[in-house]
Amino acid sequence: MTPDLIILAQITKQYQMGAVQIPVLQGIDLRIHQNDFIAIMGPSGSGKSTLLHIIGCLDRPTSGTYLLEGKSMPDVSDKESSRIRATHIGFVFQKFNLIPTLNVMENVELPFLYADIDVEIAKKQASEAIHRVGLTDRIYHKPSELSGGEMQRAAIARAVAIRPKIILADEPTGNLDSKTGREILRLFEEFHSHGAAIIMVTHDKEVASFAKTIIYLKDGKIEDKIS
Amino acid sequence: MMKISFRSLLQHKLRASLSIFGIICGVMAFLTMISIGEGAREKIIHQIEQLGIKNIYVRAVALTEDQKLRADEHLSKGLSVYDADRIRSGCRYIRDVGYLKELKQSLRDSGISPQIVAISSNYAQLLNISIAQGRFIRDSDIRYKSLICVAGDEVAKSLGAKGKLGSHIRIEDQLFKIVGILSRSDKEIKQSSVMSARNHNQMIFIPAGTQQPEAQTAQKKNEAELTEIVAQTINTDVVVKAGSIIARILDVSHKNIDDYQIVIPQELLRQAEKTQSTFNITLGAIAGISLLVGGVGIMNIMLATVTERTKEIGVRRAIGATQQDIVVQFLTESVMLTVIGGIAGIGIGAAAVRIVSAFAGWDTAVTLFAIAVPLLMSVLVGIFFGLYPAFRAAKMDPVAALRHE
Ligand SMILES: Nc1ncnc2c1ncn2[C@@H]1O[C@H](COP(=O)(O)OP(=O)(O)OP(=O)(O)O)[C@@H](O)[C@H]1O
Ligand SMILES: [Mg+2]
Repeated sequence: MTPDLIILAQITKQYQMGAVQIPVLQGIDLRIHQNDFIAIMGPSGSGKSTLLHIIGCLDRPTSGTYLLEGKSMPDVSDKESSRIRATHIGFVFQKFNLIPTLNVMENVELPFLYADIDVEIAKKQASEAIHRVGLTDRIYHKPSELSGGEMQRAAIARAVAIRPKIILADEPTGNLDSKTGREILRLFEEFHSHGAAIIMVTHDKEVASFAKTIIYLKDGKIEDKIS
Repeated sequence: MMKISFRSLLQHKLRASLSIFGIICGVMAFLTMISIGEGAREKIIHQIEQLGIKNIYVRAVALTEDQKLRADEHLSKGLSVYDADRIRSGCRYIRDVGYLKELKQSLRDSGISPQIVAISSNYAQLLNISIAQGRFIRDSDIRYKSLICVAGDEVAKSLGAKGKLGSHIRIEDQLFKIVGILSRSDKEIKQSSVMSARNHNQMIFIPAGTQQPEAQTAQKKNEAELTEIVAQTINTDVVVKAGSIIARILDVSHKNIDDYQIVIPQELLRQAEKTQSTFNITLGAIAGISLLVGGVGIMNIMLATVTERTKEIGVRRAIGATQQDIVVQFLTESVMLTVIGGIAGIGIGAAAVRIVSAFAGWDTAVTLFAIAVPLLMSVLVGIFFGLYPAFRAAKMDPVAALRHE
């Protein structure tokens, strides 16, 4: 039994809308191991993205326990959680979210800048990641000069270049056709086989089938978990 | 980091150039102000160095017909050696007194017309005039009325072979032997204001008392005995005090006739500084307002940029940017904007200053100081007005920023 990478216990999240409180997550219990590949499914508004943001230290839960490698994340400073995002976590989004003014190489180097990693190492690992997603011949292209699939590859290169422990993907194939989507998923499989834990939000059963575990979320609760 | 900021500025070239317009104006105004100020200061300091900071000048003033009548009535004979002696004995702050008389006599057989002046023997020492060859006029020259002279650098040069030491020149009907030639004084002086120094390069000095009496025409009857008295004080602290004592002494002997004028270089410096400071306040206010308006423009543009790039901020936060990283990013951008504006303003301002000094004939000096101060101001404006937008960007909720479309 490998130690737990992440432990979530009784995580809740509420949004204050004037006088009313909107409960989004209502007690999530989840353990994530280093060798997990999890798909999160559920209806729109069930709190999938919110959960992903909390796991990614981008959002803080209203209550509950969140331990990453044994460390309580809601308690750390902005500086520390930013550092953890830069070094431990790779985000991939539905809309790619590359920085439009930067070329592929510069986008991929960005996490290294924030992690204060030596430029030489950054360049080496960034071009390695770009190579692995098959974008070596697009390295100096701006995002606007790339296709959707290429943009998502670049985004994946940015997420994996620093070799994070966890890759978090929010509907990574949502804006791609099914063929391109499958290519992207194959990349995830490859990075998973190299040891990264992957958590992926999706609406698509076929996409979810790439994962080893599927979690169904409904009304802020885990309704079902299939391994 | 710089490169990245610069690139995002290039995204909106027109918008960025418009937003720095105020900064350009402000920096231009600052540069102009300082350059003109420095130019004026350099000029004044130069003149004061020539006149001597410890010296007090009493200069004869031409009288109007009316005043002449009054002067005749009161028996004031204008500036005289007697005045010089009274100043020497009547004021304990005075170390030495010299005098000069401009003569309306001309140099014969030469083709040039230098200013010929009769002086006391200490004149050169009081004004720090240095000699290149030979010697200056001595006490004994005055006492024995020696027919010798000292020539200015340009005079000696234009006289050619006749301008050497030992040769003789003819002033009116007398021959004077050249015993000294002055070193060239460094700067051409425009003879304009009351405080301007004389251009010694174009003068011939003879001992006081050796000149032939000027023709006694009716017009010349009121001609003062001296053109200028130079009184040197014992130190720079007592110059003003000594000046008022001299004024009192002369008031008595001239019976309140204003046929003289007291010029105190030190006082002139102070006056010039005063005028300068009024000028500075005016232009400084204009520059300050321009920078303020320019700064608000920068803030406006930065706020727009931050809003526009909310999504980017969310992405950067997601991949590991701290709040501080975001602050630095946007501050770099706003400072870069204002510095570009500053450099443009300095360029245009320097050109403007050149043009102004060429056309208006003002003395200006685009010194390092005149460039560094406005440049520093533009950096400060960039920081000051960029802080709020940068903090607003940093304080955004990363999740909300990411959801932003
Ligand atoms: N800042 C906020 N203030 C109030 N409510 C919010 C805020 N952010 C999210 N919510 C609400 O939280 C709920 C969950 O949102 P979330 O984005 O996690 O859903 P999701 O499962 O990812 O949905 P989708 O499948 O459409 O992406 C939604 O009902 C949303 O309206
Ligand atoms: Mg979502």
